[in-house]
Amino acid sequence: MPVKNQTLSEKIFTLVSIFLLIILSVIMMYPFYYLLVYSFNEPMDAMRGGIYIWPRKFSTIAYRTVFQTRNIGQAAWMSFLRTFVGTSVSLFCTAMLSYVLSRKHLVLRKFFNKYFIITMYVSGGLIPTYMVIRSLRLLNTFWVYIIPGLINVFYMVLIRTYMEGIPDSLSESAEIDGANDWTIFIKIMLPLCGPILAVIAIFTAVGHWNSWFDNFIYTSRKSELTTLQLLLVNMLKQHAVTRSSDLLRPDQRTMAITQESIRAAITMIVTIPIILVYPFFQRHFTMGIMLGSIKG
Amino acid sequence: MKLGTDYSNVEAPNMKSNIQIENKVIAKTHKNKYWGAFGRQRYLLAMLLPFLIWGFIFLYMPLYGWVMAFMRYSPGKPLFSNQWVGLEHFRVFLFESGEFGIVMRNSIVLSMLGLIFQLPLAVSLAIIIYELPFRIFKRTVQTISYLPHFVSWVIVANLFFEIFSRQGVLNNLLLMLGIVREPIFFLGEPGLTWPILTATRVWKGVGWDSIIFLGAISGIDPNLYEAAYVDGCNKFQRIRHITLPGIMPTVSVIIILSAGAILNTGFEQYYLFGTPANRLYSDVLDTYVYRYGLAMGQFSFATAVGMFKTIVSLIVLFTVNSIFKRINEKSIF
Repeated sequence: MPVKNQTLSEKIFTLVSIFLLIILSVIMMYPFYYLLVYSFNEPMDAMRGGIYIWPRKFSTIAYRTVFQTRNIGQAAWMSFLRTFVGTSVSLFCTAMLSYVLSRKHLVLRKFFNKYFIITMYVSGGLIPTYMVIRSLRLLNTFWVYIIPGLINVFYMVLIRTYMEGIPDSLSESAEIDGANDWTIFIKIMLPLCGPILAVIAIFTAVGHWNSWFDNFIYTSRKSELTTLQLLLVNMLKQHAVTRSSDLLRPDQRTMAITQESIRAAITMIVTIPIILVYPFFQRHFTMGIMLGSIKG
Repeated sequence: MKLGTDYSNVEAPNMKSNIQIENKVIAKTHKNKYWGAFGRQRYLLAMLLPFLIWGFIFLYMPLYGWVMAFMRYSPGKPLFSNQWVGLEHFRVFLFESGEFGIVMRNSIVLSMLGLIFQLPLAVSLAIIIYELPFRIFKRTVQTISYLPHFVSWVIVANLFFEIFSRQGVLNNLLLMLGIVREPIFFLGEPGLTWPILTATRVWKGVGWDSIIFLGAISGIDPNLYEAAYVDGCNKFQRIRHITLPGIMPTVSVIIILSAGAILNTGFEQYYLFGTPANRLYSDVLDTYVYRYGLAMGQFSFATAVGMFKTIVSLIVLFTVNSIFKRINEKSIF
């Protein structure tokens, strides 16, 4: 946009815009910041309220309690494991399927594409899917986190579109040199798809890290498979209506730690990995969603 | 193959038969090509096969499970030894449960509220960001605005439960400003359920949605802006006459897709924010299916409700799509 010769109303527009964007940023960031402050405040004191931008009585007891609780360590490990295994396996499989469906000479190419794309619009739904997973004896196993969601059809379309944009001459010359499709996929296409794979990898990893519904319905009987997210869900649902602060009289509040502070601390622990990886991948997101909107 | 026949010396009828023969030859080689391709593409097909099987099991078998909706299914029995009940479950859901109206109202109203607030806000955000000259400031705001998209609903619920709690920061603020006398118990107040659900949804999604519109704006031909500038248009006229019409196709696509998803509100937000106190306003089809199907074990009934949801969604999607096609010449199919 040319900046020269701004009229008064345009200058006002700019000022108002800046003001609105600052407000927006505060609204977006403050909830995270508030819980961070809350988690570092002394738990009993925090329940009195009135904390805005700084802990009134600094304390790390919430975090110390969290790290001493054994099932939280186990849950963190499970969250990490499913994110790591799930992302690597899903990414590789989705890329492989995308490669096959991007080959222009593939027999029945249209049919195979439709086979997957139709399922974006029609799905069996919760109960039939549950039944299938139950009959496969996947309930209460680690693999229920990985296998049912192995391929995300939308991501497949994104990677396929990217692959279709890569000149055919590269794979053709490899074919002439006697390379088969597996070799072309591994040696040529995968390295060339770096940018889009990075985007899909981060989407998939965030999805795995954030997911709890499969944990909630498929593996709730097996406590060692509980992830951090489900742990938080359970704590939240137990105390959704009856916050301890709403129930107890001041003289009853004798315990040193509260459910709210523990929850705040875990919330921070779950959020921090996202915030840490966020800046590195942030610039790729735009590209990913652009591709999506072109195809979508 | 005798493709190089010289037709110039051949009489008309003969020529016809020649072409027929030629067509047959082509058809034959085409057929051979087709079957031969399976042999030549064996690597490709071997790479595809596992995913076809996976798709069959995890994407198509559940569709087959829809037959449960017409049975009185009890777990443990072989599927087809269950009693057929026809449309019984649909009838009960629609006319007898007394909950059909409530869950449909909640699903539709919450989807609509989300769209009505989120879409204009996302468009405005995109336009404001596009029009501002300060790159680094813009980048920072953008980055912050789509952070909430990347945290789970569990985190969002945790953040806002604390903010909305009786001693939370929002009540403190309202008390301090003298807007309220008594702390409000936001999450226990049925009347505040829709505003809270909509606000948190917009909070989570508006920044992310704005990327789509920013993409659409940057797709507009820069010559149009140049021309408008030369013709003496100011910023507001440019927004009004170039930017807004330029992103209308994208807005249409978003509206069509949202219409198709009007009953697919998702489960997580409504389950997490839902309490017995606000269920009348927070219960949507997805939480309803979960409650009846998995929490109460009424598999057939829940399958029927889920099937109803999918089919109605498809009908709405195709209807809205064809309406847009007619009036706007924009559609997704």
